[in-house]
Amino acid sequence: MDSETQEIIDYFLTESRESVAEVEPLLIGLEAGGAHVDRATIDKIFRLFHSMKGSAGFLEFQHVESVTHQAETLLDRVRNGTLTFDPPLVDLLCRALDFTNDALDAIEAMLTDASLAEEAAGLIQRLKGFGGAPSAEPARAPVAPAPVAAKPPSAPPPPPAAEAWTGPQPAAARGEINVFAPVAAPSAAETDSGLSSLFDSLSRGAKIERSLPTPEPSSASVAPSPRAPSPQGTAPAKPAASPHRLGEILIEAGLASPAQIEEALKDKRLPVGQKLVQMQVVPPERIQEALAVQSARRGDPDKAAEEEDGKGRSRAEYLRVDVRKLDQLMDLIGELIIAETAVTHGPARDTEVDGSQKAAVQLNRVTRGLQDVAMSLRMVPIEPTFKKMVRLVRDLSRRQGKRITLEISGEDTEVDKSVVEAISDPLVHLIRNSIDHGVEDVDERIRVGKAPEGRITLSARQQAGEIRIEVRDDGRGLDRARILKKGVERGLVKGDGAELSDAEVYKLIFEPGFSTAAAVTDISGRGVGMDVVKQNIESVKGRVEVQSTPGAGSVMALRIPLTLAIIEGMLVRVGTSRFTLPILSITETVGVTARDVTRLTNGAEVVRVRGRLLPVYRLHELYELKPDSTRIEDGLLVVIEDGNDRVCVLVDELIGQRQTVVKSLSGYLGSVRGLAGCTVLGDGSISLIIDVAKLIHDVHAAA
Amino acid sequence: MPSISTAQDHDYAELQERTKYLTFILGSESYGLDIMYVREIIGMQQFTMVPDVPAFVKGVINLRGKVIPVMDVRLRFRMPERAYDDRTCIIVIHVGDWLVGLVVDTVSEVLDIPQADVELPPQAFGRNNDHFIAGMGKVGDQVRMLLDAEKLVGAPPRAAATA
Repeated sequence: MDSETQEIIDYFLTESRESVAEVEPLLIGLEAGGAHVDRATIDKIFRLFHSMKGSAGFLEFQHVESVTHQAETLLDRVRNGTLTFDPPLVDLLCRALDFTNDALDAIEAMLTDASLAEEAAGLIQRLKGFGGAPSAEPARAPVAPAPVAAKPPSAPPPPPAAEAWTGPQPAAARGEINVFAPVAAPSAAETDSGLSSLFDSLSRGAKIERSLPTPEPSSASVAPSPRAPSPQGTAPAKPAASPHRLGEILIEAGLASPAQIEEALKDKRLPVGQKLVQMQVVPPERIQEALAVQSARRGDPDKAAEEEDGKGRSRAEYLRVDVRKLDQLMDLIGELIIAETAVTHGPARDTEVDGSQKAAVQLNRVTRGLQDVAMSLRMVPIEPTFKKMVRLVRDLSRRQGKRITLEISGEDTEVDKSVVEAISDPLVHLIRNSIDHGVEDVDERIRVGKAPEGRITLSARQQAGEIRIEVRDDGRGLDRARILKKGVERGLVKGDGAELSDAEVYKLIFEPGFSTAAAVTDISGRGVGMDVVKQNIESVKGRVEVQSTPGAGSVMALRIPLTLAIIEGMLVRVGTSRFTLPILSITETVGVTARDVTRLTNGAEVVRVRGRLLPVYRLHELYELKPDSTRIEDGLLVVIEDGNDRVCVLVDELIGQRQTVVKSLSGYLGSVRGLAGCTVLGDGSISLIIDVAKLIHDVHAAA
Repeated sequence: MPSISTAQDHDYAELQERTKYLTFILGSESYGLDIMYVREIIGMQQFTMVPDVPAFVKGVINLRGKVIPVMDVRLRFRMPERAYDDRTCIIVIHVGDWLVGLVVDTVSEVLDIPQADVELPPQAFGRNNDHFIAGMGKVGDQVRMLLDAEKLVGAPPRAAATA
């Protein structure tokens, strides 16, 4: 019972957040479209608001319900032509979305949106008053479906409106009510109100189904407005709420009567628990116990309040997975079982070929397939993350008086879920940076002969086992001289830094607290942004690259490995130790003679490979091992690269290619020079995995 | 000893005051480790060296798919190294978030030592390794050094690496 309602709420949260994320770019897209308002898009936005409203209403999050309802009403007026779609309207609707997000956070933390009553009321006033409300509207209490349901006959083109109403969303809402009503009903503390809430749900379902105009009292109890309580009072609506409510726990424990809880709930200023103590109904220590029960039921052994950000309640995370992937997975499991039988029950008797080898090949194939599918289950499109930036660009560029369009490409690229989480903040910082420092304002752009409208391009693509995400702008580019000056001032650069390459100079912007902004604006300039970018990206083993052309713009590229768990590796041997090199970093393997090698004055060796001089890293020297031979011509040089850096590592022997499951080296050992982790080989021994970027970096740092 | 107490009370008090120790031997000395920390005892295994760690960390081993670091307790105590033989054991202990293997000459037995028989280590003994010792347990006429597992494992052996 508890967990079921919890599940419904979790699902509501996931779904509503997705809806909000979906609506935002649509709204802004419409705005960019100018006077012509695309009917289909408006309908889509309308439906998204509507389904949020429906679910919120069912779960009795009244503020979300009333705000989304008002937003819906405005959209309906746009649809039937009584309201023009303009930037102020977009602003207001965006505010409604922000409110919804806040409310969702509140619901996640407290299972109620009651704390947002004031914001809701203010917003509803603004939504209602927007663009001169039609005469019928202000007189009415904000009644859920009634006014909208009454609309279709009056709307100019009836067929599309009817389509919107009989379309998928209301049907889905109906389905939910039918399915969930029995769940919600028994949760009510009193049979009366349980029945009445069931009745409400049913009457609403029926209403939508038949599109009947609703009698006033019943609809008022479906959506009691915070300011105008329904005729029956708020009582029937309240107790049907979550089973995690303190009141219910107290009733269950026989510590308070339903009437007393009702009484306590009426005082909105105090939490129920405190109010009950004040009313001297329940002693404080009992409230503490009940609170403990409450947090335990929420699946949260430590008290939610003790954790930061109100994210204490451990919420199940959902991932949308393509059903085809699951089908594939099932097929492979089937094959796996067959392969397993072949291995355990011995090979087929009649085969001439070595049966066990055949079984091994089969097993290998299935395992690879399983691995691919299992990995792909975690992969999600990057689109929602990109779409969030649409609103950011709009709001910031307006605030700065700049005109900027955001172009998005490659949004269907799939990345690991953990990567999506890690890049969200960096993207915000990079885009802020582009808007604030990169793209010039309109006057300046015209002066330097650029199009008045700036352009930021956000793109993603897969490139050799990596995801490459770029934020490109056509602004003024990074100011080398200014960054360098700041770097010298802050003591990050020795001397005047004239000999530093551009790339080295640009790297400075990722130093903590580094900012060239003359003034700290509300967008950026405090110098906290870029080091966050670097840290987040490094946490998923990625790298940030900066390119810039003065006057023409800059490109910030995030390069992140596709997956962190399994890599294709090349197993190499040095003496008795075995190392794994990521195949993707290997460009070639060469044998050289002593003549190809030059020893520099500092003892470092360089070798000439295809006309390029590359440094030689002797793994046995680096890791103090005993190799078969220290003569370079007896071993093999594996050429590995990281970005533009290319080096050779000297090994005794190549053993072969392996699928490598990356394990972290014990946390006890911390981070070890040049290593990404380790893996367990087929014979049970351990091979250390070399992190090429780290190896190059660490060797440089040691030199 | 309290003069008036039921048998049950007494047993309970006794339980509270006793701790089980796994004892092991290094050279001629016997050491004890609170059994609460001990996960399992395994025979000697081949380990993989890890660069940049202090000499007492011999490397890592594969414990049924888990990769865990192994420390030679002799080296940790700055005792002379000794060739491993078939009596050499690895005691796998769980300290904090880490599983760590301890290489010892041999494991002897599990002892029940009442708290009353445990004395704090005399300060005067102090040289290199007394800070690993939580107490001295008197068993019959012998003394076992009871080790502080947390201090033994200590912080991740980072800084010492370059030495």
